[in-house]
Amino acid sequence: MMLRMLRQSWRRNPRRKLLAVATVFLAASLLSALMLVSIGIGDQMAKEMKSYGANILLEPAEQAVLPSLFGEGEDNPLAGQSTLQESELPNIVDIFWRNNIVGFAPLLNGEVAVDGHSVRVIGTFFDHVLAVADDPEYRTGQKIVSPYWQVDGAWPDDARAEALAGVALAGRHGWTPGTLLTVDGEALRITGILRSGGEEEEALVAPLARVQGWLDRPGRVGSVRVSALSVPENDLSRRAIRDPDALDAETYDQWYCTAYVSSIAHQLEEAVSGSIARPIWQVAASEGAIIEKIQWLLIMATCAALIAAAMGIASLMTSALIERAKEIGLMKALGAHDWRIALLFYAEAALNSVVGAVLGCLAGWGLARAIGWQLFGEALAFSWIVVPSVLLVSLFIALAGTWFPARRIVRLDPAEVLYGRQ
Amino acid sequence: MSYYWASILSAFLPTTVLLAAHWAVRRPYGPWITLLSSAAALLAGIGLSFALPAGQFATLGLGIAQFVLLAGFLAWQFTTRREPFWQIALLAVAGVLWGRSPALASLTTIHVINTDFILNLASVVTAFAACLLLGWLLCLLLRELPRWRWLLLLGGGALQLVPLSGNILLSLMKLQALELTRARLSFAAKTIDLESAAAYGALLLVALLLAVAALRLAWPRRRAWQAAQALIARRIALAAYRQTRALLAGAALVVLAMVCAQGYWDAVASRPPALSAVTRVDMPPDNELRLTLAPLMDGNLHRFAWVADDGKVVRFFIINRLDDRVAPSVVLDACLLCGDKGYVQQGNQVVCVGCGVHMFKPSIGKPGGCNPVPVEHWRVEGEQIVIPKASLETGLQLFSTVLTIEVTDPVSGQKLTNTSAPHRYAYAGKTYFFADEAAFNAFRDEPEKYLPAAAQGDAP
Repeated sequence: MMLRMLRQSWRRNPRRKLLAVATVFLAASLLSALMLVSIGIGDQMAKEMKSYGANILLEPAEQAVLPSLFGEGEDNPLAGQSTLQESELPNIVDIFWRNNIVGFAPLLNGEVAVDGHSVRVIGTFFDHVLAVADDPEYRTGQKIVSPYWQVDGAWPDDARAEALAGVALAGRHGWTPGTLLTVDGEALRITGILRSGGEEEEALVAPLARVQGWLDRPGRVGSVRVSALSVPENDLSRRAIRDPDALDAETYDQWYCTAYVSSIAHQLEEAVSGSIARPIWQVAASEGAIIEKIQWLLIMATCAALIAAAMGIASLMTSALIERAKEIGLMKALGAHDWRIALLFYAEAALNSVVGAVLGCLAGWGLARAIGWQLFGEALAFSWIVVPSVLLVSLFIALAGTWFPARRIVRLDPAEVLYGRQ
Repeated sequence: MSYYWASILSAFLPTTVLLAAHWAVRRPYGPWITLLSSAAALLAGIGLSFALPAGQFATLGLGIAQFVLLAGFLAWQFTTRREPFWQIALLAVAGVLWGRSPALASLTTIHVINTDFILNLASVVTAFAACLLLGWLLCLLLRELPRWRWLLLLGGGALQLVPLSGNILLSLMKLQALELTRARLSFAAKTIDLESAAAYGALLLVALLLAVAALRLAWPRRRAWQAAQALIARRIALAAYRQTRALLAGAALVVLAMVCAQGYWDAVASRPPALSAVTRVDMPPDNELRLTLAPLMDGNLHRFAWVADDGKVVRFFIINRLDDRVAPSVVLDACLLCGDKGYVQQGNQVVCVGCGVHMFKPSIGKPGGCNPVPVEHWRVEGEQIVIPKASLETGLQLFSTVLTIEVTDPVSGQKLTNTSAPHRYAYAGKTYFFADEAAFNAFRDEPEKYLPAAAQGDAP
């Protein structure tokens, strides 16, 4: 009976139903788009925080006074002015958490003249043998720290005059693996073309010792990238990031003796004099920062849309009630309970809202992709949790919108309505 | 997710049971008033938990306040006057206690809405809704069995008051207001331990009540319906029976869901990863353990256990450190920081069970940090790995597992077990057990006399 009445109601007045669906659809598409953007980035951030590996950047303390304003520090216009000592690098694998250090690679940036052009160079280790305290055969370098680097050709040998050319730089100058360049009066062979997805694609990446020679900064490095295995961040580590000195002795020990990124970074600072260490969060630092700032704006806009939609539903329902007053009166006269009649209207609103929400989710997905491209230059993944959330919220607005008009049902007197007095 | 269910159930179920019994004999307020005032009390309690300082005095004060409140609430049950105070006060106190647990802080790890946050929030809301539903159903049931509410009142009261008294005692001892004695400490430890069983206790009480209701309400109503002859009386009896049955089934469903959530958390989700299989090895007479190398070098963690002659179990594992060539490491299954919790292999990584830190596989075998303690002086001889007994003995102090084994009293020749022997004496690197003090003294004075010739040759 209930289903038949619902079907009848749809057939008799599809225009009003479509209007209700459209109201919910608009609010739901806005809601799902904003949720998809926020949740997509939130999930990536959570994944980053929960991961068991991290990259830490060690920089000279003076340079880090200008915080993450310049990205990872290599873009910093002051880079190269203050430096760390290369002789202190073995200390990195001498800290308490030395066994969690997967590897490290120093970086030294500068500009040199190559065949008459000024070219950016980065000095680093590729697969360098470095004598450390308990392992004279210790090897470290970009091969270990940056497993995502793709090299067309061969990796250079740290001891020879060989280098990698970034793909953008090589494309501009027409360099290929095997090209011989002249830098600072000596021959330099390009062994491979580097794709890293980062700024290295614009530079010539050469062994650290050569670059120190070209730039006349012997024994200095600009920064060090350290790759470490860690434990996911939690409440304790977040407190420690804010201020390690505020912890009491017991929690400080607990923090120091747990392989949080923050405690490894803290120990790296102690090991290399004059340095500041900070974890490099890829998402948290870029997209996460944007979302964190505009999140409240998103929530406010969504709330406004939801309230507007609920009011729209309420007015539609009110007019439906007035139009169907005689029908309600008849049902009452036949002995229907108030709650049964109210249920009919609630079910109708719920049905409309579910249809609107499903369509809204689809539209919101498209909208979120557009926002993702506009804001971050990449499409955001679809998170399934959005569908039940949007359904639930749409259902809530539909029911809330129906609640006010539905109270009129109780007040309707069948005799009056059936005579047309109200 | 089930963590939130578990934490909310242990914090709020006893209170739910008490309040259901409380309202069973009183005229209720309207649903909106009840819901809103309860939510406000809950939120106020949670908010207050942030404002309270963390010290020992605050804990003591809170404990005493809760104790007095509960005692007052139980005393109030002799009247049937309706009073909104108790519901608000009990919910607020439960809110304070829940807010002080680490549950709230772990709702989200970042400041952006994400899937975890929505799921956690959903489980918090559903857990509270389940408590509310159970309370309402219980209240409806108890209206028909008003005398049985004392079961819930006394049981629920005891579930909270007993651990509370232990907590108060412990706080008083910590503040040195009471002297620390063995009996008091033992009482506090045992009663506080009951706190973890609060949810199960409350669920057991509810299950008992449901059983009583089935016997006292549902069964007689079924019989009345079957016995009724007149058509109208029969239809009314059937309706009464069906209503009771629906009520009971609903409550039983909620209880079942709660048992599942709590049990899943306690038995599965909160457990640390289990150690993989251990191969027991025996020390050959020449005191050098030999294991075939090749099958151990498949990149997996191979765990072994050696039982020393005093019953102590020393676990160690062998793993290939490098993927591209054979580079074995022999290490004890314990670390200096986390003790003998051990290590497990998850995928291609080795993880410490104690602190969850992931090991850098090539570094296994080096000392320091969270790394497993290395076994010293092992060597590879041909196809075999050789581990001297002395190296494994250095691990004895790191492990606490003791296996019950049969030993012989060297003086009397009597057979006894290492765990039940009253006396023991370490001599020349071996532990001897004695059945009585006379044998112990005799051995201690002249050990050489009782040892077989071979063992004497080993002695320095």
